[in-house]
Amino acid sequence: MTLPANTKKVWGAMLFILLPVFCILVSLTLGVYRISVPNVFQILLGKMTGNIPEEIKAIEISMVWDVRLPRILGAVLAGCGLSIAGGVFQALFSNPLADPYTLGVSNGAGFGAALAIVLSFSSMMIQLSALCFGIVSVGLTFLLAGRKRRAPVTMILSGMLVSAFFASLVSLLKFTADPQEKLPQIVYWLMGSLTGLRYSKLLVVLPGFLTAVVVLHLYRWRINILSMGNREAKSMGLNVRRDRTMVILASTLLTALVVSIAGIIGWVGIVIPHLARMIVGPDFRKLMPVSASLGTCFLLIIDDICRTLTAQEIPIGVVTGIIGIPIFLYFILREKVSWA
Amino acid sequence: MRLELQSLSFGYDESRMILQDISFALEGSGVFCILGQNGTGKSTLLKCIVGEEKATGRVLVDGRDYSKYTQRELARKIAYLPQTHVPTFPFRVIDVVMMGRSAHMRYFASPGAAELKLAMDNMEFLGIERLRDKPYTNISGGERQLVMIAAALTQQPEFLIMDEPTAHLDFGNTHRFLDLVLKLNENGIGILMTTHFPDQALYLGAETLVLKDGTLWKNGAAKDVVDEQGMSDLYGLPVHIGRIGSRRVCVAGEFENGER
Repeated sequence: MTLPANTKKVWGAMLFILLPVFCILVSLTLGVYRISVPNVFQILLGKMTGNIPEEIKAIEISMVWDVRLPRILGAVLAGCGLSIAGGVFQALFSNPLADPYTLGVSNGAGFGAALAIVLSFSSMMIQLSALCFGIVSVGLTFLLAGRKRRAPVTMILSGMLVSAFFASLVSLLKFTADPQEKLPQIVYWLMGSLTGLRYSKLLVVLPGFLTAVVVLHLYRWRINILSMGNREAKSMGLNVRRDRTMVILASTLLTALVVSIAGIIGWVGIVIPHLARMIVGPDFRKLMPVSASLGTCFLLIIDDICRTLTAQEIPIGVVTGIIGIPIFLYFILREKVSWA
Repeated sequence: MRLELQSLSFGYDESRMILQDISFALEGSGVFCILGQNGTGKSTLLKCIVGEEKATGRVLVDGRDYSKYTQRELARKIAYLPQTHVPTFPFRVIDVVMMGRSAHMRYFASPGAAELKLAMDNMEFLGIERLRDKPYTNISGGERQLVMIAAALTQQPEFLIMDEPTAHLDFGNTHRFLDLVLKLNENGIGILMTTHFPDQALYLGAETLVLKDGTLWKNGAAKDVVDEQGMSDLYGLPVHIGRIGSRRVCVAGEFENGER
Protein backbone atom coordinates (compact mmCIF):
# COMPACT_ATOMS: atom_id res chain seq x y z
CA MET A 1 0.00 0.00 0.00
CA THR A 2 1.38 3.41 -0.87
CA LEU A 3 0.25 6.32 1.18
CA PRO A 4 0.00 9.83 -0.24
CA ALA A 5 3.10 11.88 0.55
CA ASN A 6 1.29 14.13 2.99
CA THR A 7 -0.21 11.29 5.01
CA LYS A 8 3.24 9.73 5.23
CA LYS A 9 4.65 13.02 6.50
CA VAL A 10 2.01 13.30 9.21
CA TRP A 11 2.53 9.71 10.35
CA GLY A 12 6.29 10.26 10.37
CA ALA A 13 5.94 13.39 12.47
CA MET A 14 3.55 11.62 14.87
CA LEU A 15 6.00 8.75 15.26
CA PHE A 16 8.90 11.02 16.18
CA ILE A 17 6.73 12.86 18.72
CA LEU A 18 5.14 9.79 20.28
CA LEU A 19 8.31 7.71 20.51
CA PRO A 20 10.02 9.90 23.13
CA VAL A 21 6.74 10.36 25.02
CA PHE A 22 6.41 6.58 25.19
CA CYS A 23 10.03 6.25 26.38
CA ILE A 24 9.43 8.84 29.09
CA LEU A 25 6.36 7.01 30.38
CA VAL A 26 8.08 3.62 30.36
CA SER A 27 11.16 5.05 32.10
CA LEU A 28 8.97 6.42 34.89
CA THR A 29 7.80 2.91 35.72
CA LEU A 30 11.32 1.49 35.92
CA GLY A 31 13.58 1.57 38.91
CA VAL A 32 15.11 -0.37 41.77
CA TYR A 33 12.29 0.67 44.09
CA ARG A 34 9.23 -1.20 42.82
CA ILE A 35 6.15 0.89 42.15
CA SER A 36 3.25 -0.68 40.29
CA VAL A 37 2.56 0.74 36.85
CA PRO A 38 -1.02 1.89 37.66
CA ASN A 39 0.32 3.73 40.71
CA VAL A 40 2.92 5.55 38.62
CA PHE A 41 0.23 6.85 36.28
CA GLN A 42 -2.12 7.70 39.12
CA ILE A 43 0.68 9.73 40.69
CA LEU A 44 1.35 11.52 37.39
CA LEU A 45 -2.34 12.24 36.79
CA GLY A 46 -2.84 13.15 40.44
CA LYS A 47 0.04 15.66 40.40
CA MET A 48 -1.55 17.35 37.40
CA THR A 49 -5.13 17.35 38.62
CA GLY A 50 -4.25 17.93 42.25
CA ASN A 51 -5.75 14.83 43.89
CA ILE A 52 -3.76 11.69 44.49
CA PRO A 53 -5.58 8.58 45.79
CA GLU A 54 -4.90 8.17 49.51
CA GLU A 55 -3.78 4.56 49.32
CA ILE A 56 -0.56 5.55 47.50
CA LYS A 57 2.38 5.88 49.85
CA ALA A 58 4.17 9.20 50.18
CA ILE A 59 7.50 7.57 49.38
CA GLU A 60 6.11 6.35 46.07
CA ILE A 61 4.92 9.82 45.20
CA SER A 62 8.25 11.37 46.03
CA MET A 63 10.08 8.58 44.18
CA VAL A 64 8.17 9.19 40.97
CA TRP A 65 7.83 12.94 41.15
CA ASP A 66 11.02 14.09 42.88
CA VAL A 67 13.54 11.41 41.92
CA ARG A 68 12.58 9.77 38.65
CA LEU A 69 10.88 12.60 36.81
CA PRO A 70 13.66 15.21 37.18
CA ARG A 71 16.20 12.61 36.23
CA ILE A 72 14.17 11.64 33.17
CA LEU A 73 13.75 15.28 32.20
CA GLY A 74 17.52 15.61 32.56
CA ALA A 75 18.00 12.69 30.19
CA VAL A 76 15.57 14.35 27.77
CA LEU A 77 17.52 17.62 27.85
CA ALA A 78 20.85 15.84 27.51
CA GLY A 79 19.77 13.52 24.71
CA CYS A 80 18.03 16.27 22.82
CA GLY A 81 20.76 18.88 23.35
CA LEU A 82 23.75 16.69 22.52
CA SER A 83 22.09 15.25 19.40
CA ILE A 84 21.12 18.66 18.05
CA ALA A 85 24.53 20.15 18.84
CA GLY A 86 26.28 17.16 17.26
CA GLY A 87 24.31 17.60 14.04
CA VAL A 88 25.15 21.30 13.99
CA PHE A 89 28.87 20.79 14.49
CA GLN A 90 29.00 18.10 11.82
CA ALA A 91 27.26 20.44 9.38
CA LEU A 92 29.38 23.45 10.30
CA PHE A 93 32.69 21.69 9.97
CA SER A 94 31.50 19.71 6.93
CA ASN A 95 32.88 16.77 8.85
CA PRO A 96 30.80 13.74 9.78
CA LEU A 97 33.17 12.94 12.63
CA ALA A 98 32.70 16.22 14.47
CA ASP A 99 30.75 16.11 17.73
CA PRO A 100 29.50 18.56 20.37
CA TYR A 101 32.84 18.35 22.14
CA THR A 102 34.97 19.17 19.08
CA LEU A 103 35.68 22.72 20.26
CA GLY A 104 36.76 21.68 23.75
CA VAL A 105 33.57 22.18 25.78
CA SER A 106 33.80 18.84 27.56
CA ASN A 107 37.31 19.09 28.94
CA GLY A 108 36.84 22.76 29.77
CA ALA A 109 33.68 21.96 31.70
CA GLY A 110 35.41 18.97 33.27
CA PHE A 111 38.14 21.26 34.55
CA GLY A 112 35.56 23.71 35.88
CA ALA A 113 33.77 20.95 37.74
CA ALA A 114 36.97 19.38 39.07
CA LEU A 115 38.20 22.77 40.29
CA ALA A 116 34.92 23.44 42.09
CA ILE A 117 35.01 19.95 43.64
CA VAL A 118 38.58 20.39 44.87
CA LEU A 119 37.63 23.74 46.37
CA SER A 120 34.66 22.04 48.13
CA PHE A 121 32.04 24.24 46.49
CA SER A 122 28.33 23.41 46.58
CA SER A 123 26.81 21.28 43.85
CA MET A 124 25.19 24.35 42.30
CA MET A 125 28.61 26.03 42.14
CA ILE A 126 30.07 22.90 40.54
CA GLN A 127 27.39 23.15 37.86
CA LEU A 128 28.03 26.85 37.25
CA SER A 129 31.79 26.43 37.22
CA ALA A 130 31.48 23.61 34.67
CA LEU A 131 29.22 25.79 32.53
CA CYS A 132 31.56 28.80 32.66
CA PHE A 133 34.73 26.86 31.90
CA GLY A 134 32.97 24.97 29.11
CA ILE A 135 32.18 28.28 27.44
CA VAL A 136 35.61 29.75 28.24
CA SER A 137 37.31 26.80 26.54
CA VAL A 138 35.36 27.39 23.33
CA GLY A 139 36.30 31.07 23.58
CA LEU A 140 39.94 30.01 23.80
CA THR A 141 39.48 27.80 20.75
CA PHE A 142 38.14 30.80 18.84
CA LEU A 143 41.09 32.95 19.94
CA LEU A 144 43.59 30.26 19.04
CA ALA A 145 42.08 29.74 15.61
CA GLY A 146 42.50 33.49 15.26
CA ARG A 147 41.80 35.19 11.99
CA LYS A 148 41.91 31.92 10.09
CA ARG A 149 38.89 30.62 11.95
CA ARG A 150 36.93 30.45 8.74
CA ALA A 151 38.89 27.33 7.85
CA PRO A 152 37.12 24.43 9.57
CA VAL A 153 40.34 22.46 10.00
CA THR A 154 41.96 25.30 11.95
CA MET A 155 38.99 25.35 14.31
CA ILE A 156 39.07 21.59 14.80
CA LEU A 157 42.82 21.60 15.50
CA SER A 158 42.48 24.52 17.92
CA GLY A 159 39.67 22.64 19.65
CA MET A 160 41.90 19.60 20.02
CA LEU A 161 44.67 21.69 21.56
CA VAL A 162 42.37 23.43 24.00
CA SER A 163 40.80 20.07 24.89
CA ALA A 164 44.18 18.52 25.51
CA PHE A 165 45.26 21.48 27.61
CA PHE A 166 42.22 21.29 29.88
CA ALA A 167 42.55 17.50 30.03
CA SER A 168 46.05 18.00 31.42
CA LEU A 169 44.77 20.49 33.97
CA VAL A 170 42.09 18.00 35.01
CA SER A 171 44.80 15.36 35.46
CA LEU A 172 46.75 17.77 37.60
CA LEU A 173 43.68 18.40 39.77
CA LYS A 174 43.03 14.67 40.05
CA PHE A 175 46.63 14.14 41.11
CA THR A 176 46.40 16.74 43.84
CA ALA A 177 42.86 15.87 44.95
CA ASP A 178 42.18 14.01 48.19
CA PRO A 179 42.00 10.36 47.06
CA GLN A 180 39.40 9.37 49.68
CA GLU A 181 36.79 11.99 49.07
CA LYS A 182 37.46 14.38 46.15
CA LEU A 183 39.07 12.10 43.60
CA PRO A 184 36.13 9.68 43.27
CA GLN A 185 33.78 12.64 43.00
CA ILE A 186 35.81 14.11 40.13
CA VAL A 187 36.06 10.76 38.38
CA TYR A 188 32.32 10.14 38.65
CA TRP A 189 31.55 13.62 37.37
CA LEU A 190 33.78 13.08 34.34
CA MET A 191 32.12 9.76 33.52
CA GLY A 192 28.80 11.52 33.21
CA SER A 193 25.82 10.80 35.38
CA LEU A 194 22.22 11.81 35.82
CA THR A 195 22.08 10.54 39.39
CA GLY A 196 20.43 12.81 41.89
CA LEU A 197 19.25 15.45 39.45
CA ARG A 198 16.84 17.90 41.03
CA TYR A 199 14.41 20.37 39.54
CA SER A 200 16.53 23.25 40.84
CA LYS A 201 19.45 22.20 38.62
CA LEU A 202 17.17 21.76 35.62
CA LEU A 203 15.61 25.16 36.13
CA VAL A 204 19.02 26.81 36.02
CA VAL A 205 19.74 25.43 32.56
CA LEU A 206 16.25 25.57 31.07
CA PRO A 207 16.11 29.22 29.90
CA GLY A 208 19.49 29.03 28.16
CA PHE A 209 18.65 25.64 26.73
CA LEU A 210 15.38 26.81 25.19
CA THR A 211 17.01 29.99 23.85
CA ALA A 212 19.73 27.96 22.13
CA VAL A 213 17.19 25.56 20.63
CA VAL A 214 15.07 28.43 19.32
CA VAL A 215 18.13 30.13 17.79
CA LEU A 216 19.20 26.91 16.07
CA HIS A 217 15.65 26.36 14.86
CA LEU A 218 15.64 29.84 13.32
CA TYR A 219 18.97 29.13 11.62
CA ARG A 220 17.85 25.70 10.36
CA TRP A 221 17.93 26.61 6.65
CA ARG A 222 21.12 28.65 6.96
CA ILE A 223 22.85 25.72 8.67
CA ASN A 224 22.18 23.72 5.48
CA ILE A 225 23.89 26.38 3.42
CA LEU A 226 26.81 26.70 5.84
CA SER A 227 27.35 22.95 5.54
CA MET A 228 27.98 23.36 1.80
CA GLY A 229 31.29 25.04 2.59
CA ASN A 230 32.32 28.59 3.40
CA ARG A 231 33.02 29.72 -0.15
CA GLU A 232 29.71 28.38 -1.38
CA ALA A 233 27.78 29.90 1.50
CA LYS A 234 29.45 33.25 0.97
CA SER A 235 28.71 33.25 -2.73
CA MET A 236 25.08 32.50 -1.91
CA GLY A 237 24.97 35.70 0.13
CA LEU A 238 25.52 34.58 3.70
CA ASN A 239 27.58 36.61 6.09
CA VAL A 240 29.48 33.43 6.88
CA ARG A 241 31.45 34.79 9.79
CA ARG A 242 28.42 36.15 11.62
CA ASP A 243 26.15 33.20 10.91
CA ARG A 244 28.78 30.65 11.87
CA THR A 245 29.56 32.50 15.08
CA MET A 246 25.90 32.69 16.07
CA VAL A 247 25.29 29.01 15.35
CA ILE A 248 28.47 27.92 17.14
CA LEU A 249 27.57 30.08 20.15
CA ALA A 250 24.11 28.55 20.36
CA SER A 251 25.29 24.97 20.05
CA THR A 252 28.16 25.57 22.46
CA LEU A 253 25.72 26.96 24.99
CA LEU A 254 23.49 23.93 24.46
CA THR A 255 26.38 21.53 24.99
CA ALA A 256 27.84 23.36 27.98
CA LEU A 257 24.44 23.44 29.70
CA VAL A 258 23.98 19.71 29.20
CA VAL A 259 27.49 18.97 30.44
CA SER A 260 26.90 21.16 33.48
CA ILE A 261 24.00 18.96 34.64
CA ALA A 262 25.04 15.58 33.29
CA GLY A 263 28.82 15.51 33.07
CA ILE A 264 30.54 14.26 29.96
CA ILE A 265 28.26 11.90 28.05
CA GLY A 266 30.03 10.85 24.88
CA TRP A 267 28.89 9.38 21.59
CA VAL A 268 25.26 10.52 21.69
CA GLY A 269 26.21 13.63 19.73
CA ILE A 270 27.92 11.66 17.01
CA VAL A 271 25.84 8.46 16.70
CA ILE A 272 22.37 10.00 16.82
CA PRO A 273 22.83 12.67 14.10
CA HIS A 274 24.16 9.94 11.81
CA LEU A 275 21.21 7.70 12.54
CA ALA A 276 18.82 10.59 11.95
CA ARG A 277 20.58 11.53 8.71
CA MET A 278 20.17 7.96 7.48
CA ILE A 279 16.44 8.21 8.12
CA VAL A 280 15.53 11.72 6.92
CA GLY A 281 18.61 12.95 5.05
CA PRO A 282 20.89 15.88 5.83
CA ASP A 283 18.31 18.72 5.55
CA PHE A 284 18.64 20.35 8.96
CA ARG A 285 14.97 21.36 8.94
CA LYS A 286 14.13 17.68 9.39
CA LEU A 287 17.39 16.54 10.90
CA MET A 288 17.02 18.75 13.97
CA PRO A 289 13.63 17.47 15.22
CA VAL A 290 14.39 13.86 14.32
CA SER A 291 17.81 14.00 16.05
CA ALA A 292 16.16 15.51 19.12
CA SER A 293 13.55 12.76 19.17
CA LEU A 294 15.98 9.88 18.64
CA GLY A 295 18.54 11.35 21.04
CA THR A 296 15.91 11.61 23.74
CA CYS A 297 14.86 7.96 23.27
CA PHE A 298 18.45 6.73 23.08
CA LEU A 299 19.53 8.44 26.28
CA LEU A 300 16.36 7.42 28.16
CA ILE A 301 16.87 3.79 27.23
CA ILE A 302 20.53 3.92 28.22
CA ASP A 303 19.76 5.65 31.48
CA ASP A 304 17.14 2.97 32.21
CA ILE A 305 19.81 0.33 31.66
CA CYS A 306 22.24 2.23 33.91
CA ARG A 307 19.88 2.40 36.83
CA THR A 308 18.21 -1.01 36.60
CA LEU A 309 20.83 -3.44 35.29
CA THR A 310 22.95 -3.69 38.42
CA ALA A 311 22.45 -2.91 42.08
CA GLN A 312 24.99 -0.13 41.95
CA GLU A 313 24.39 2.36 39.21
CA ILE A 314 26.66 2.41 36.14
CA PRO A 315 27.76 5.91 35.02
CA ILE A 316 25.83 6.79 31.86
CA GLY A 317 28.84 8.12 29.94
CA VAL A 318 30.41 4.66 30.16
CA VAL A 319 27.36 2.93 28.71
CA THR A 320 26.81 5.39 25.83
CA GLY A 321 30.32 4.54 24.68
CA ILE A 322 29.89 0.78 25.07
CA ILE A 323 26.63 0.85 23.12
CA GLY A 324 27.31 3.81 20.86
CA ILE A 325 30.64 2.74 19.40
CA PRO A 326 29.41 -0.62 18.05
CA ILE A 327 26.44 1.15 16.49
CA PHE A 328 28.79 3.66 14.91
CA LEU A 329 31.10 0.90 13.66
CA TYR A 330 28.09 -0.77 12.10
CA PHE A 331 27.32 2.45 10.17
CA ILE A 332 30.88 2.63 8.94
CA LEU A 333 31.06 -1.01 7.90
CA ARG A 334 27.76 -0.69 6.10
CA GLU A 335 29.25 2.41 4.45
CA LYS A 336 26.48 4.62 5.72
CA VAL A 337 29.17 6.97 6.99
CA SER A 338 32.41 7.81 5.29
CA TRP A 339 35.53 8.83 7.16
CA ALA A 340 36.29 11.65 4.77
CA MET B 1 26.71 45.38 -14.29
CA ARG B 2 30.10 47.04 -14.38
CA LEU B 3 33.04 45.38 -12.68
CA GLU B 4 36.16 47.46 -12.35
CA LEU B 5 39.56 46.63 -10.88
CA GLN B 6 41.90 49.46 -10.01
CA SER B 7 45.58 48.53 -9.56
CA LEU B 8 44.85 45.35 -7.73
CA SER B 9 47.84 43.56 -6.20
CA PHE B 10 48.02 40.45 -4.11
CA GLY B 11 50.68 38.30 -2.49
CA TYR B 12 50.79 35.89 0.43
CA ASP B 13 53.91 37.74 1.53
CA GLU B 14 55.56 40.92 0.30
CA SER B 15 58.51 39.29 -1.45
CA ARG B 16 56.38 37.01 -3.61
CA MET B 17 53.61 38.95 -5.24
CA ILE B 18 51.18 36.80 -7.21
CA LEU B 19 49.24 39.61 -8.84
CA GLN B 20 50.67 43.03 -9.57
CA ASP B 21 48.89 46.20 -10.43
CA ILE B 22 46.00 44.74 -12.38
CA SER B 23 43.44 47.17 -13.72
CA PHE B 24 40.55 46.55 -16.07
CA ALA B 25 36.86 47.25 -16.40
CA LEU B 26 34.28 44.75 -17.57
CA GLU B 27 31.24 46.47 -19.00
CA GLY B 28 27.73 45.15 -19.18
CA SER B 29 26.78 41.60 -19.80
CA GLY B 30 29.48 40.19 -22.05
CA VAL B 31 31.43 36.95 -21.92
CA PHE B 32 34.92 37.36 -20.50
CA CYS B 33 37.71 34.78 -20.45
CA ILE B 34 40.92 34.87 -18.46
CA LEU B 35 43.84 32.98 -19.99
CA GLY B 36 47.23 32.28 -18.49
CA GLN B 37 49.68 29.56 -17.60
CA ASN B 38 49.37 27.37 -14.54
CA GLY B 39 50.26 29.37 -11.46
CA THR B 40 49.93 32.86 -12.97
CA GLY B 41 47.17 33.71 -10.54
CA LYS B 42 43.99 33.27 -12.58
CA SER B 43 42.13 31.63 -9.72
CA THR B 44 43.65 34.04 -7.25
CA LEU B 45 42.41 36.95 -9.34
CA LEU B 46 38.86 35.57 -9.19
CA LYS B 47 39.19 35.03 -5.45
CA CYS B 48 40.29 38.65 -5.05
CA ILE B 49 37.29 39.80 -7.07
CA VAL B 50 34.81 37.87 -4.94
CA GLY B 51 36.54 38.92 -1.74
CA GLU B 52 37.83 35.55 -0.70
CA GLU B 53 41.37 36.91 -0.64
CA LYS B 54 42.17 40.39 0.58
CA ALA B 55 44.02 42.27 -2.16
CA THR B 56 45.32 45.82 -2.20
CA GLY B 57 43.80 48.16 -4.74
CA ARG B 58 40.13 48.59 -5.42
CA VAL B 59 37.35 46.41 -6.76
CA LEU B 60 34.34 48.44 -7.87
CA VAL B 61 30.95 46.92 -8.54
CA ASP B 62 28.72 49.36 -10.41
CA GLY B 63 31.10 52.12 -9.37
CA ARG B 64 30.83 51.37 -5.68
CA ASP B 65 33.61 49.85 -3.64
CA TYR B 66 33.21 46.13 -3.09
CA SER B 67 33.64 46.44 0.67
CA LYS B 68 30.68 48.81 0.87
CA TYR B 69 28.28 46.04 -0.11
CA THR B 70 26.86 43.47 2.26
CA GLN B 71 27.38 39.85 1.25
CA ARG B 72 23.65 39.63 0.60
CA GLU B 73 23.68 42.60 -1.81
CA LEU B 74 26.70 41.20 -3.61
CA ALA B 75 25.10 37.78 -4.01
CA ARG B 76 22.29 39.42 -5.96
CA LYS B 77 24.87 40.83 -8.37
CA ILE B 78 27.56 38.18 -8.52
CA ALA B 79 27.50 34.40 -8.21
CA TYR B 80 30.82 32.62 -7.93
CA LEU B 81 31.47 28.96 -8.68
CA PRO B 82 34.82 27.76 -7.36
CA GLN B 83 36.76 25.24 -9.42
CA THR B 84 35.98 22.35 -7.13
CA HIS B 85 33.07 21.87 -4.84
CA VAL B 86 33.56 19.08 -2.33
CA PRO B 87 30.16 17.67 -1.40
CA THR B 88 29.91 16.39 2.16
CA PHE B 89 26.27 15.69 2.91
CA PRO B 90 23.82 13.99 0.53
CA PHE B 91 21.39 16.89 0.08
CA ARG B 92 18.68 16.42 -2.52
CA VAL B 93 19.48 18.19 -5.77
CA ILE B 94 16.39 20.39 -5.48
CA ASP B 95 17.45 21.53 -1.99
CA VAL B 96 20.90 22.51 -3.25
CA VAL B 97 19.37 24.49 -6.10
CA MET B 98 16.98 26.28 -3.71
CA MET B 99 19.91 27.22 -1.46
CA GLY B 100 20.90 29.64 -4.19
CA ARG B 101 17.81 31.69 -3.39
CA SER B 102 18.90 32.64 0.11
CA ALA B 103 20.10 36.13 -0.76
CA HIS B 104 16.54 37.00 -1.80
CA MET B 105 14.72 35.43 1.13
CA ARG B 106 13.94 36.89 4.54
CA TYR B 107 16.73 36.21 7.02
CA PHE B 108 15.24 33.25 8.86
CA ALA B 109 12.94 32.04 6.09
CA SER B 110 12.93 28.59 4.56
CA PRO B 111 12.25 28.21 0.84
CA GLY B 112 8.59 27.90 -0.15
CA ALA B 113 6.52 27.46 -3.31
CA ALA B 114 8.00 30.47 -5.14
CA GLU B 115 11.56 29.32 -4.52
CA LEU B 116 10.66 25.78 -5.56
CA LYS B 117 9.19 26.97 -8.83
CA LEU B 118 12.18 29.13 -9.70
CA ALA B 119 14.53 26.27 -8.86
CA MET B 120 12.55 23.85 -11.04
CA ASP B 121 12.48 26.36 -13.91
CA ASN B 122 16.25 26.67 -13.79
CA MET B 123 16.70 22.92 -13.61
CA GLU B 124 14.47 22.53 -16.67
CA PHE B 125 16.48 25.22 -18.47
CA LEU B 126 19.61 23.16 -17.81
CA GLY B 127 17.86 19.87 -18.56
CA ILE B 128 18.43 18.34 -15.13
CA GLU B 129 14.89 18.32 -13.73
CA ARG B 130 14.98 14.51 -13.61
CA LEU B 131 17.70 14.74 -10.92
CA ARG B 132 15.35 16.61 -8.61
CA ASP B 133 15.15 14.13 -5.73
CA LYS B 134 18.53 12.46 -6.12
CA PRO B 135 21.23 13.02 -3.53
CA TYR B 136 23.67 15.41 -5.16
CA THR B 137 26.56 13.32 -3.87
CA ASN B 138 25.50 10.42 -6.09
CA ILE B 139 25.47 12.02 -9.53
CA SER B 140 28.28 12.47 -12.04
CA GLY B 141 30.73 15.36 -11.81
CA GLY B 142 29.24 16.95 -14.93
CA GLU B 143 25.72 16.70 -13.51
CA ARG B 144 26.88 18.13 -10.21
CA GLN B 145 28.37 21.10 -12.00
CA LEU B 146 25.02 21.73 -13.69
CA VAL B 147 23.37 21.52 -10.26
CA MET B 148 25.75 24.15 -8.91
CA ILE B 149 25.05 26.31 -11.96
CA ALA B 150 21.31 25.87 -11.39
CA ALA B 151 21.83 27.04 -7.80
CA ALA B 152 23.78 30.04 -9.10
CA LEU B 153 20.99 30.87 -11.57
CA THR B 154 18.39 30.64 -8.80
CA GLN B 155 20.44 33.35 -7.15
CA GLN B 156 19.53 35.50 -10.22
CA PRO B 157 22.86 37.27 -10.35
CA GLU B 158 23.83 39.80 -13.01
CA PHE B 159 27.26 38.27 -13.30
CA LEU B 160 28.44 34.67 -13.04
CA ILE B 161 32.08 34.11 -12.19
CA MET B 162 33.44 30.60 -12.77
CA ASP B 163 36.88 29.23 -12.04
CA GLU B 164 37.93 26.77 -14.76
CA PRO B 165 34.43 25.44 -15.25
CA THR B 166 35.49 22.94 -17.90
CA ALA B 167 38.37 21.46 -15.89
CA HIS B 168 36.49 18.31 -14.93
CA LEU B 169 34.29 17.89 -17.99
CA ASP B 170 34.77 15.39 -20.79
CA PHE B 171 35.24 16.40 -24.43
CA GLY B 172 31.53 16.47 -25.28
CA ASN B 173 30.36 18.07 -22.07
CA THR B 174 33.02 20.76 -22.41
CA HIS B 175 31.50 21.84 -25.69
CA ARG B 176 27.94 21.59 -24.38
CA PHE B 177 29.07 23.76 -21.52
CA LEU B 178 30.41 26.44 -23.88
CA ASP B 179 27.06 26.51 -25.68
CA LEU B 180 25.37 26.84 -22.31
CA VAL B 181 27.58 29.84 -21.53
CA LEU B 182 26.41 31.48 -24.76
CA LYS B 183 22.79 30.65 -23.94
CA LEU B 184 23.09 32.12 -20.46
CA ASN B 185 24.69 35.18 -21.92
CA GLU B 186 21.81 35.63 -24.36
CA ASN B 187 19.56 35.68 -21.30
CA GLY B 188 21.47 38.70 -20.08
CA ILE B 189 23.91 37.22 -17.58
CA GLY B 190 27.50 38.41 -17.78
CA ILE B 191 30.07 35.63 -17.59
CA LEU B 192 33.64 35.78 -16.35
CA MET B 193 35.56 32.53 -16.47
CA THR B 194 39.12 31.30 -16.40
CA THR B 195 40.22 28.67 -18.89
CA HIS B 196 43.30 26.82 -20.06
CA PHE B 197 42.10 26.65 -23.66
CA PRO B 198 42.45 29.64 -26.00
CA ASP B 199 40.01 27.77 -28.27
CA GLN B 200 37.26 28.41 -25.78
CA ALA B 201 37.86 32.15 -25.84
CA LEU B 202 37.70 32.04 -29.65
CA TYR B 203 34.52 29.98 -29.71
CA LEU B 204 32.80 32.18 -27.15
CA GLY B 205 33.93 35.32 -28.95
CA ALA B 206 34.92 36.44 -25.49
CA GLU B 207 36.58 39.58 -24.33
CA THR B 208 39.88 38.00 -23.34
CA LEU B 209 42.23 38.94 -20.52
CA VAL B 210 45.66 37.33 -20.61
CA LEU B 211 47.66 37.08 -17.41
CA LYS B 212 51.41 36.64 -17.59
CA ASP B 213 53.79 36.68 -14.62
CA GLY B 214 51.13 38.13 -12.38
CA THR B 215 50.32 41.09 -14.56
CA LEU B 216 47.63 41.78 -17.12
CA TRP B 217 49.53 41.14 -20.32
CA LYS B 218 46.85 41.57 -22.97
CA ASN B 219 43.23 42.57 -22.96
CA GLY B 220 40.87 42.64 -25.93
CA ALA B 221 38.56 40.71 -28.23
CA ALA B 222 39.50 37.02 -28.53
CA LYS B 223 40.15 37.30 -32.26
CA ASP B 224 42.73 40.04 -31.62
CA VAL B 225 44.33 38.67 -28.47
CA VAL B 226 44.46 34.97 -29.32
CA ASP B 227 47.03 34.97 -32.12
CA GLU B 228 49.87 32.58 -32.92
CA GLN B 229 52.66 34.85 -31.73
CA GLY B 230 50.97 35.83 -28.49
CA MET B 231 49.90 32.30 -27.53
CA SER B 232 53.36 30.92 -28.41
CA ASP B 233 54.92 33.51 -26.12
CA LEU B 234 52.38 32.84 -23.38
CA TYR B 235 52.64 29.06 -23.24
CA GLY B 236 56.31 28.81 -24.28
CA LEU B 237 55.82 26.48 -27.24
CA PRO B 238 54.67 26.82 -30.83
CA VAL B 239 50.93 27.45 -31.17
CA HIS B 240 49.12 27.32 -34.49
CA ILE B 241 45.78 28.81 -35.32
CA GLY B 242 43.83 27.65 -38.33
CA ARG B 243 40.33 27.13 -39.62
CA ILE B 244 38.10 24.09 -39.73
CA GLY B 245 34.94 25.10 -41.56
CA SER B 246 33.83 28.37 -40.03
CA ARG B 247 35.60 27.75 -36.74
CA ARG B 248 38.97 29.06 -35.71
CA VAL B 249 40.91 26.47 -33.76
CA CYS B 250 44.11 26.56 -31.82
CA VAL B 251 46.63 23.71 -31.73
CA ALA B 252 49.85 23.53 -29.72
CA GLY B 253 53.13 21.84 -30.63
CA GLU B 254 55.56 21.48 -33.54
CA PHE B 255 54.07 20.71 -36.93
CA GLU B 256 57.32 19.40 -38.50
CA ASN B 257 57.50 16.06 -36.65
CA GLY B 258 55.94 13.96 -39.39
CA GLU B 259 52.46 12.49 -39.63
CA ARG B 260 50.42 11.94 -36.48
